[in-house]
Amino acid sequence: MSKIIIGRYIPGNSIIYKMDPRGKIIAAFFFIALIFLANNWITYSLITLFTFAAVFATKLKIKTFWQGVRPLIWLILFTSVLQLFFTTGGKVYWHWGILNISHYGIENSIYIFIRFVMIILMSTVLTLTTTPLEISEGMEWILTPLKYLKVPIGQIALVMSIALRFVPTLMDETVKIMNAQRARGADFNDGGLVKRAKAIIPILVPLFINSLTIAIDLAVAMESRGYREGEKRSRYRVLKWSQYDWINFAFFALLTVLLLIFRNH
Amino acid sequence: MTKQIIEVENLSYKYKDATDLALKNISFKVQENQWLSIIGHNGSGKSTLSRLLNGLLVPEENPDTKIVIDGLELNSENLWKIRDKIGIVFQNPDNQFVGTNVQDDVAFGLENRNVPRSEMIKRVDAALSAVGMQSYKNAEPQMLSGGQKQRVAIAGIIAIEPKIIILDESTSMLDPEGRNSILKLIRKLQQQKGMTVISITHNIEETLHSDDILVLDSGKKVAQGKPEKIFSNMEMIKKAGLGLPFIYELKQELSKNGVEIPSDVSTEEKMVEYLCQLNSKM
Repeated sequence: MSKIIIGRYIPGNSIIYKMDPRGKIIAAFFFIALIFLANNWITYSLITLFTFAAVFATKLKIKTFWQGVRPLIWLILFTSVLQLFFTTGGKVYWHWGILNISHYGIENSIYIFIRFVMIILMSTVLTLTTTPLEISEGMEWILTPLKYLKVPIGQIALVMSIALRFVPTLMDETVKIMNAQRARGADFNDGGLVKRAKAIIPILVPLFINSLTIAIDLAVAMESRGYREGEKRSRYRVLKWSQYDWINFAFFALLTVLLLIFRNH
Repeated sequence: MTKQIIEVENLSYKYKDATDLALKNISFKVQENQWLSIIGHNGSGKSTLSRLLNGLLVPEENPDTKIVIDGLELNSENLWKIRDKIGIVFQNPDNQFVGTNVQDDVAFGLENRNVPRSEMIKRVDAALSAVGMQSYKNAEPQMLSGGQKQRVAIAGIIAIEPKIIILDESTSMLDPEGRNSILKLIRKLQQQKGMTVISITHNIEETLHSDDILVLDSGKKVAQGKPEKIFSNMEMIKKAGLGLPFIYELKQELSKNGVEIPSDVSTEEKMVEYLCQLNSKM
């Protein structure tokens, strides 16, 4: 389980860590839009360079990023290969039935490949350098306008932060339950897929019951500490913009301008 | 003249789907700045009682029932004012930790009361230093021991500055060291801030230092009084399914052997002193 890098935070101390989560989330979404501005070799190179610059700026090991891309690499290659064989136009190099390899096909499949990899790398930069709580707080800020549509943003954010807070607690519970069952002879590591899946059920049932107990206890504690649903609450944690966010936005503005100039070249 | 801070009259409670009442016609009073211990075996209604006091549970309908906290009668109008006056430290350290780290958790009650942020920062800092946890400000719950988490829970309560603190078996999941340090801390806060303490406990030894003890048995109040009085009534204690504290057990065994110990010898230190004096006389 620890191999999955998507959505995992790794503590660090580079400039990207000091940026405000709101700025990082907005930038990451903006980047996805920006990538569609690229339409030729120069612009794609710019996007690639920019992404690698961001990756290096995190000061994390490159291997970590590779772990982020790896689980998706077959999906990406499959999509690229489809592009390669089914896109027509330009000089045709090879042709068999409906399949053909053309100049455009080669170009397009490489573009698609770059697009996917860059989007994954950029979102990995975001999730590796931002704690889940920060992301949820950033999202809360970004979604604030929905308040006017009567969406209970504050409550959703509280639910998110409590959920994140209890992930380690539930992990501990799981380990406890598994150990209790191992002590009585349960085996979680042997057997085929079906047998292993069946071994999970006796873990899930007590885990589910335990989490309900925790939820009830927590609700009682929250209420006795004065929590009132829908009531206005002040905030202890606040997000602060810093100079690093302006640097971040300046780089993105520069990238946008460069892309706009070179896309018509 | 001490002020009466809690007054409960004819309080009964029945859980949904239960046939018997969990609490039967309980009445008692607590004076300000006192330490009241509530003891009783499992299912005697101790925790139910604490939850009724701050309106987490609603008592059985009865015109004679009255709960008055610091001059305010508990009703739907006063409910939130009363919750400002009572803080409860629950049993499980993990299941009452709401914030993602220590300072967030302490701030939770303040956020609920819409306290401005600048004020919150001051109060969180003050509360954390009162419980000796200021150096753990940014620690996440999984990095803390049970005793430390209970300290944080206490900090979250004193940040609200309540008059009454209820310990609902708060030390039962802690090791002896954690338990002692929490009790010491509460005693210090009781003296410094003039708080009233209600301690619901299984641990008979914990009640020795209290001013007053309330004994519950199957939802009924069987006795209330000073520890000396309660623990000299062997029959009642046995009937309530409880044991005697070590010191009283020792007294009894000694009196069986013809050594009578005066009733004002009520703590271990006093007992040691008395026995030493007795020894030198002989």
